[in-house]
Amino acid sequence: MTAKLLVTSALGLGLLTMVSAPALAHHGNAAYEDTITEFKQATVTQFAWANPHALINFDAKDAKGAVVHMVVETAAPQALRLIGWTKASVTPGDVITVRMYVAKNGNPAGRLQKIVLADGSELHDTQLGGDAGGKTRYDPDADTGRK
Amino acid sequence: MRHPYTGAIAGVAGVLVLAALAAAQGDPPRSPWKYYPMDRAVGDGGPAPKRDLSGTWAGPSSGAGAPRSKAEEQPSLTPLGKQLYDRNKPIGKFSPGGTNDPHTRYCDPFGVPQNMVQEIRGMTIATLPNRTFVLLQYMDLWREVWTDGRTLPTNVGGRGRDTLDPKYNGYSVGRWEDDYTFVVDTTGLAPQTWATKSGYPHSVEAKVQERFHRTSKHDLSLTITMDDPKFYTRPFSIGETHFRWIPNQQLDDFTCIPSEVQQYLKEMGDPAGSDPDAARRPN
Repeated sequence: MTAKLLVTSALGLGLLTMVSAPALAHHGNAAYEDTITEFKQATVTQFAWANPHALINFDAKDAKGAVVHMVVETAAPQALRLIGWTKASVTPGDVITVRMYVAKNGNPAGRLQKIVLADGSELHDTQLGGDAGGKTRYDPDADTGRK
Repeated sequence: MRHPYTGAIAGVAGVLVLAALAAAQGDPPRSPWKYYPMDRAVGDGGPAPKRDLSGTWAGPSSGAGAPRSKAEEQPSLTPLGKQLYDRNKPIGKFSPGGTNDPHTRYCDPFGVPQNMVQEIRGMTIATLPNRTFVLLQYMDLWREVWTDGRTLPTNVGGRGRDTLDPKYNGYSVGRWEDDYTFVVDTTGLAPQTWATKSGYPHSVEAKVQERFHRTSKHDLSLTITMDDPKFYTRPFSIGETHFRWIPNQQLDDFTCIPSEVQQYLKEMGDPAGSDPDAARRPN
């Protein structure tokens, strides 16, 4: 309940940005909202390069300065390696932007859309990493023209 | 006498040499031990060799550009099949936090036919004179397909002294239908596994047929059908999957690790929960 209030509070105070997009059901991700929530100035506390899905734990602050601790899942390492991730892509202490689909139940958890690193580079999720939002799939081939 | 274009030709040659050197310096040396998804097989590679599937193949989501898979069809269930199907809570509908899929929750084996569709990525096929082995990247799993002319067992799962135990991958026999199509028939499947990710059940007596069809040196397709009169009113398609030849024949590691899954569920899957509307949606 506390965690739910933290997320709800942060959303209400405008620290986070909700990005509207059309809803699209996707297998395994029905527990998450259909819109993207953005966490800026998020500090990574842990990066688990593990199966079935890699997890990023991070802290973000709400408008009152209170720390919101979140966890976001992305794909399996085997799949992430194919789109540019490594086990050292992020490390504790990194300050990044996290865009994610948060859990419908209000708990501080969600599925990644993408992260933006301090140097401006981006790393996407596979299943929901499309820039069109709305739980669209990320297709790196579409970006590079490589098929 | 000096040719008037000698200088220009030498200049162009020099630029080409420098460009080649720069390109060579920009490409780090390739390790023979590593899977490079960007090193894709080019084109179809020419005609398929006859009666030969041997080698290492990249499936869907392997970065190899394999054509998109075709999903399972919605089968027609018998009343008993529907009863079992309704007990299953697939991940697509209930998410990791609400599913009772034994693989998602515990890394239990998929079994045949699900392991030939679900998380099917890298695959190696190896051949002995009397058997063909299908080695799957996901779960570091191997299957044994007998090609010595034997027939499928008919006494799996009964109570007699000579009956055979059901197996996760069942009992398989294979034969060449033509020079490019290898047909594998399987029965005796462990009934606790799901036939598909969406929770369709199967019985021990289910008969699964896989058709491996090699259309070129670089292209292999697999279509799967299942016939299980106990639970379904007619045979149905489990799906169609495409594979591409991997140039350096090397795969990387990908498996379900129970300790990591338990950590994932504790930290992520269970807190995220399930879609509150899941029970009202079709699987």
